[in-house]
Amino acid sequence: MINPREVADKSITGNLSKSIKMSLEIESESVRKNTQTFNSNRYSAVSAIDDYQELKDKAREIKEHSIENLPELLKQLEESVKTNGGKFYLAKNAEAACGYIKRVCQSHKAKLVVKGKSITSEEIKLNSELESAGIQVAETDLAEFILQYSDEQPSHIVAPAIHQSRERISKLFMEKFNPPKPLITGEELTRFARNKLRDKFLNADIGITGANLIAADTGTIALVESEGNIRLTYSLPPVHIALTGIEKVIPSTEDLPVFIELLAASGTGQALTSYTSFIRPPLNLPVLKDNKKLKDKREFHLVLIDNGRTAMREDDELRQALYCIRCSACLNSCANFQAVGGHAFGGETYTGGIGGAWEAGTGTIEKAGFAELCTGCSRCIPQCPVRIDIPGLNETIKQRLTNKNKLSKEKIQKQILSNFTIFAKFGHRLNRLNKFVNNSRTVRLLLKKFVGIDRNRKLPESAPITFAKMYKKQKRDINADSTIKVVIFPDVYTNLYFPERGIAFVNILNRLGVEVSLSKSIPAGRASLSQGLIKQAAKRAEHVTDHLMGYIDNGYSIITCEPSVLALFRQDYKNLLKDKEKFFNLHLHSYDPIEFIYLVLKQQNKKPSDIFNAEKLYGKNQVFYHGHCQLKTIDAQRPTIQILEETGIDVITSEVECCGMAGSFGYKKDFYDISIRIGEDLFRQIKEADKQGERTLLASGVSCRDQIFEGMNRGVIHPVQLLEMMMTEV
Amino acid sequence: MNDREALINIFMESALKTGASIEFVKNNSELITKTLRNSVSIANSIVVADEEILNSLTGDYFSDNSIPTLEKLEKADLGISYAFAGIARTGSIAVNIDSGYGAYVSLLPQKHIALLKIENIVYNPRDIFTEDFVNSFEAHNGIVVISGPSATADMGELVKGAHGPSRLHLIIIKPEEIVEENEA
Repeated sequence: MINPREVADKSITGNLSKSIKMSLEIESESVRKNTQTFNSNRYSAVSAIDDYQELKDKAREIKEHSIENLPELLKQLEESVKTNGGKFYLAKNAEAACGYIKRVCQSHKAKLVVKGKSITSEEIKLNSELESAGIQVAETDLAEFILQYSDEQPSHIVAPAIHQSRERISKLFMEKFNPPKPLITGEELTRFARNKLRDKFLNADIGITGANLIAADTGTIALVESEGNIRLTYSLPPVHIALTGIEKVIPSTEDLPVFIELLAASGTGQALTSYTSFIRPPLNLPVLKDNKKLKDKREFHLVLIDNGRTAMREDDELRQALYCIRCSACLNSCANFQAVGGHAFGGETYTGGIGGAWEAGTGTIEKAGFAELCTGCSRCIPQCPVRIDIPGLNETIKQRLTNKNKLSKEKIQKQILSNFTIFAKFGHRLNRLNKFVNNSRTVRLLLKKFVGIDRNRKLPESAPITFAKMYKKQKRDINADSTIKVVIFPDVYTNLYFPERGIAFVNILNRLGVEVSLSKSIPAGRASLSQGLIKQAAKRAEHVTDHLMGYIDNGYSIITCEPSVLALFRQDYKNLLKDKEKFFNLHLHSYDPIEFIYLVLKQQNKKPSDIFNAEKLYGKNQVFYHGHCQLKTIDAQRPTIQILEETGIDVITSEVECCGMAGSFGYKKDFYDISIRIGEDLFRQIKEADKQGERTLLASGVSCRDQIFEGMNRGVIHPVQLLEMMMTEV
Repeated sequence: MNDREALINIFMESALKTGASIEFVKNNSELITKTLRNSVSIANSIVVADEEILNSLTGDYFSDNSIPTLEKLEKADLGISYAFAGIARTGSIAVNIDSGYGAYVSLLPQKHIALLKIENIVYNPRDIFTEDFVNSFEAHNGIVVISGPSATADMGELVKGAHGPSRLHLIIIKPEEIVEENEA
């Protein structure tokens, strides 16, 4: 069995795939269970905050302002800390920070240091520094305590031992401590560790904590925890050192609760965690007479580290990572993270979607190689309490890594996958080349070797006739006098693979008397973006937008059937288009087909049941609907569920964040197993829903459709096709 | 039901959700003492946060707990402190941990009882961080917002009582004129 530490550094070739394999084998079950619990708790916790959206705006604003004014804030904070009677040290790098802390320990002849949870101390490898100076370090957070004995790096930024099951912990404790009685239950394990650590607390010379936030105006530190070990760490030993990054400083004490409320709800999904301390050390807390360690006067040191953060601050693309409050919402809401956890989807210190930017910022860009595991599904975007565009950060990392490896095989593979359109068209023209590919073992082996496509995956087979051609052939009423005009952007997926959904939509629009046009079918940049080829994506974005602007200027609404393409228009083009006004125009005028149908019905004062009749399904009105990750993020999924329910359809909706296919991600040989592991959650939900009889399967996205089709071996249609079946005569 | 009553109801509901238990008592030192004696009758060793608590209790039951020692604190079954504020939405209480022994008595023993005046309950955590509060920070060099007993899920399942108390009991003190409510 390999230790996760051996494969933590993702700059080493092969470590990413080795760590994925290890995680899927050993850690996946615990990680999945725990992250999914955090995830669903988060949804209910944030819904209990009345002004959640406004609070997020406020938090974002404060963080932007703080990073902008960081040098001044640090000066102000230094004054506050000194006024309070503490000492302030700003460390340029890990070496300086470790050196300072070591000197403080030595000045007190410290033999034992107790530590609260501090990810920053992992970043600077403080423990080994202190231990090599003969100072014993006791990790007191129970998760960190486990990791100290299993010698693993954290697998999650909030719950560092989230990958450990109770059975594994029990085994570890039996081996390491040989207790008189077996330790089996969570209660027994916790009690054992608590007693062991109480002893350390009572004998410690120095306590080291992190800091979740620091207010520059008063020097107040906020510390968030559930166990009480952080409180013990700063209140029992006579000397307290708080170590954290410079980005944790905000201007005002009054604003601390803004972040605390968001942090607890977004992280573990609690209103607040058990203990939130706001302290301005050194505390006046009375000296306990029989505690020999406690001198008359307490001592406090605030150690802030830069270690690459100033460079991040000056980097227009990575700066927003500094706004992170380490809540872990982007980890828990990520389907890939749920499947493998932070030992694969993470580096030596930082984990998950946000982890890439931090490994890059505090280490090297190569160490952020796990950013490949971000598929751009975007589910983390609405969960982030400071509105960081996490997929955007990962696209930047991928682009920078690609730029560095000019001639590598990976780069060529990326080029091929990002030119999916050409690939698909080629297959289409050569009389369904893909069918041949799918039937040939040799060709599939070659694809695996040279393009990186897993041999278990079938390439999508193109339709005999494209959507554009079908559209031209079809006889339809011309609604030239209609006040509502739409242009359908025939995304490559609808055009070459699933023309049926496009045609179904056109038929409904005809029934509603809407004037329909078809735009050119050109690549929109989704495939380029998910490969991290930002420049190529930007070029495509400009091209598509210029083409569509002509329609918008003439009063057309833009519709595209593929959610990942709609998400480009509504979200990703913001970063890609030079002219932001163009983006907002496109953003405002583009719709998902059913979202648009819903609006038209409203405008025409019609109810969905006036047009769609569930009776036309002859009793088959039970459906299972899997939305689409990006459709959920841009909030365009709700109308689909609403319209189905309002027409009398019995809808069960999937609860997974993403299907796991995510464009070309699930096709890649390195990621195929993760993709299937994620798919299993979805398949399980379908089977559960099918218990009262098999349901019609609906999916909005092509990738989701492929994933479900392969996993369930059953037909999957777009909801618009179901609506078409239910459409009444005029 | 007026706004104030609604706020108290929210507080009760949220506090129970954190795993705390709650009871109400009228602001009368004899009644408070009686209530406390009921809650502590099984405790072998009790520590209190400060003189104010001692003064608010009558009789000699609590008198030998004048100044806690570390040993006493470590072995105590029960710690009693005031909470200077309650937070309805999150079911939390705020305890001063800078002066007195509040930091220790709310953390070291197995059980923590906090006395909270009903008029000090606010809605959101941010509501205790008013300008006045921040300006008077001298008196609050350290505070801890407590939401339920200490807990961990690190050992594979949720366990109450990690490094801190496994039980948190809130005694809400109402002005004497308010008609007594049912215990929750």
